[in-house]
Amino acid sequence: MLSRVAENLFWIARSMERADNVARLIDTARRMVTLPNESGRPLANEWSSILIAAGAGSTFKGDLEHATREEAVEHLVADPDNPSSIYNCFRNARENARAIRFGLTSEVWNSLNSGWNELPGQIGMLRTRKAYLAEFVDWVKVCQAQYRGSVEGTLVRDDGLEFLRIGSHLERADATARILDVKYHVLLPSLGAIGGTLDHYQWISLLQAVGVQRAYHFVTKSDVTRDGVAAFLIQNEVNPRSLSYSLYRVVQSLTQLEEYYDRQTSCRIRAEVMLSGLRTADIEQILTDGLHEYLTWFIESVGNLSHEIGLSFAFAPPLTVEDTEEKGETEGQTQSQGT
Amino acid sequence: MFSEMTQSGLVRPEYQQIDTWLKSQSIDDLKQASSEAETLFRKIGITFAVYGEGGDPERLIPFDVIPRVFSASEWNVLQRGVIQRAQALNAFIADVYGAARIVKEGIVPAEIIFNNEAYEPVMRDFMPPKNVYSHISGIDVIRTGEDGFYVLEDNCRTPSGVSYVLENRRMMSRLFPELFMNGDVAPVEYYPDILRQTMESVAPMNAADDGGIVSVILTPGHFNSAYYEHSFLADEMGIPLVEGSDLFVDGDKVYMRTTRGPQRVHVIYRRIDDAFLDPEQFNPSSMLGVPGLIRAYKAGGVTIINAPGTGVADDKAIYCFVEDMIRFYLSEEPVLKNVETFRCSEPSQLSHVLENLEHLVVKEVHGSGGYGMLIGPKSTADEREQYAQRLKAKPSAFIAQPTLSLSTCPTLVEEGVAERHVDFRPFVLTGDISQVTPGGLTRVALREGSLVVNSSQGGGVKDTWVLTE
Repeated sequence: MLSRVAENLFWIARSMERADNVARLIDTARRMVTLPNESGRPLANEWSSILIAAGAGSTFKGDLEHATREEAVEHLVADPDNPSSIYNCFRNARENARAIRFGLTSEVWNSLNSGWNELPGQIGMLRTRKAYLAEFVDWVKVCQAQYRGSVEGTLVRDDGLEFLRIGSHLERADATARILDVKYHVLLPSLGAIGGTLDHYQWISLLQAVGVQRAYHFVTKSDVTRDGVAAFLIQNEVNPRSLSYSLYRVVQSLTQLEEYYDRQTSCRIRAEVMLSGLRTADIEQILTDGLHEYLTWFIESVGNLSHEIGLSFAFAPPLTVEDTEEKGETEGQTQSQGT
Repeated sequence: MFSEMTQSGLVRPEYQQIDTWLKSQSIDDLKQASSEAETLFRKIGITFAVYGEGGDPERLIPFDVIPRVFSASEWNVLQRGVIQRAQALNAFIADVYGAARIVKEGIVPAEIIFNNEAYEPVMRDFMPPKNVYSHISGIDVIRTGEDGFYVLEDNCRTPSGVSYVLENRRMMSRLFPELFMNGDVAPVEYYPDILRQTMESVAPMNAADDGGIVSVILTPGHFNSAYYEHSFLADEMGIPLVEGSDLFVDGDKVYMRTTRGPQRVHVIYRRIDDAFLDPEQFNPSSMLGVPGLIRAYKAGGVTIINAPGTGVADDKAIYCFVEDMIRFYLSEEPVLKNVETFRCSEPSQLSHVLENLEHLVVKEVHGSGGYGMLIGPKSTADEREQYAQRLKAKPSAFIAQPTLSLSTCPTLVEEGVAERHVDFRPFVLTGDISQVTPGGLTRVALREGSLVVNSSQGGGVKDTWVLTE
């Protein structure tokens, strides 16, 4: 297939997964804000923490340290100037899909198109009713689920599908790392509070945000602890949102592509190295050395892997609207006036 | 005014079936079908984009459910006429980039060729495969009477609209399958097949040795107003739809970037203008083109259709000479006539035009899209005065034609079925041979009395039938 088509597919999947995860991040903050602060000291602002974790610290125009809920939600959901806002994720997914309209099934297209068409109404509700936030988050998850379902249910099983899968899982690895990192940004009132009640609730919030709170108990059969949550989100391959599982799926898809194309790729090797690093990582050591540092390194590695995938399959920088709008085609001397 | 369906109160033979059918349908039936068609077109996404007017840029061209019909013998004339025209235009383009015999013989003045913006010096002394330049030609035809067919203009660059020809037929046979049961409407569905054959027939020599000819459609991208047509044709032909950034030139060959690695491309049906084709050769700031493409083309590594520089043949000033071209290159009499045209660069014609402005339509030689023209009978004295000033300032930039009354065809409008003006664009394909699918795009001016069929100004489209013998 054309490299550009593969790239379009990759970005459709990444954008939809990102929208889902930004919604989950917002949900994390929404839950954390309601936690009791027994320390009597002011807490770090959950909303600024979420903005930083979402990578929107630099695009946020207000006072980052004192970001309000309204400001943060607006920026993460509806701001056209935030490349990762849910608005832009939906828009990118649909634009990438439009560019390869005939390469998708109508069900996949409809799932993306209707999400985009409903978005303004959803944003309107969010702006008028504060309590709508939880429902909005659910709506975004439903859109993502519909998209994912239509892909799994209707798309031809070929190389195109693998590019979609790579996009989803690479983005999810990135997102789970960011959600886990929120714990670092939401600084605790004092060192003594680590292991305390608030600390405990915050770890639970993270599990809830990625939707695996029950899975955690079911799989680990243990209480929520710092080490337990970190291991579950980083390493546990039963957990569909863990870094390890996400990377494993990326490796699988890249291996499948190598089979289709009958050639080796450097990105598959890089992904395998990352995966085995995750699998053999010593979680206790990571926590001692600093979880934030580890996650920062991991997020960078995901970026490098993404770049390498682009090189292996010859992705190119896309054209902008201005480059192609209404230029480029003249059919003849004029259009008929029929006079 | 010529009505295609009824003459002197009698239904013309080719419209008998339409007449019977219309009598069996209530206006509500037709309106119901019409709204179904609209819903379907929107769902499939058959839209064109209009930027800069606000609102949703994705627009739908109104589809009229009453077909326009040609008899087999009418089609025979039209077919011969448009093929003849396409062949003469191709011979002309080959000549102006070669020996320029037509200039030396004094038939066409040198300045309107060599001073023409669309003349591409880079094409001089280069002969494309099979000596074909305009592989896809859209010849716009209007009708004023029983035998009164005229060519209004030629489109030799990248004529569009063929996707509507196919989609309109699909829509008609979906809405009214009974109309096609007895099989007396010639099919148009094979257009993509002959387009692909045409492309392959002009592939570079030895292309087949690569394990098959690879053809692609080159689009400016999905923001372009005709993107639907580009993707539709690629899909129908089963060939890749590429953007400039998908292609690169290595040596004399063109490749597309695929996930399997570079793949050689032999024939490019480009739907972008000359100026954007190759930043090395033309507009250096073009992001749409492929650096080095013209080099590879001239070295014979790839075929570009339509060839660069074909615009030199479809200018309004050149138009006046097409009948002469037919006589000169083909030694035949033109089957289809030109509309009488006054070239204002000729002093005697200019004075005639200035004296008769209120009866004429004046157009800019390089104008397009209906802009910058004067429709005499509908103009005010003030407008004519202002236009006369422009004319006198630069006469060579204008031509004038009499206002012709386009034929009309029954059309579904708000009040019921009424006569509306139509024009017609068949598509001639030229490779090894010249062919034209029996049919084409009929555009209809939906506003009462209007002669403007452009979709941007209230025009719609109709299915066009050619009856078999």
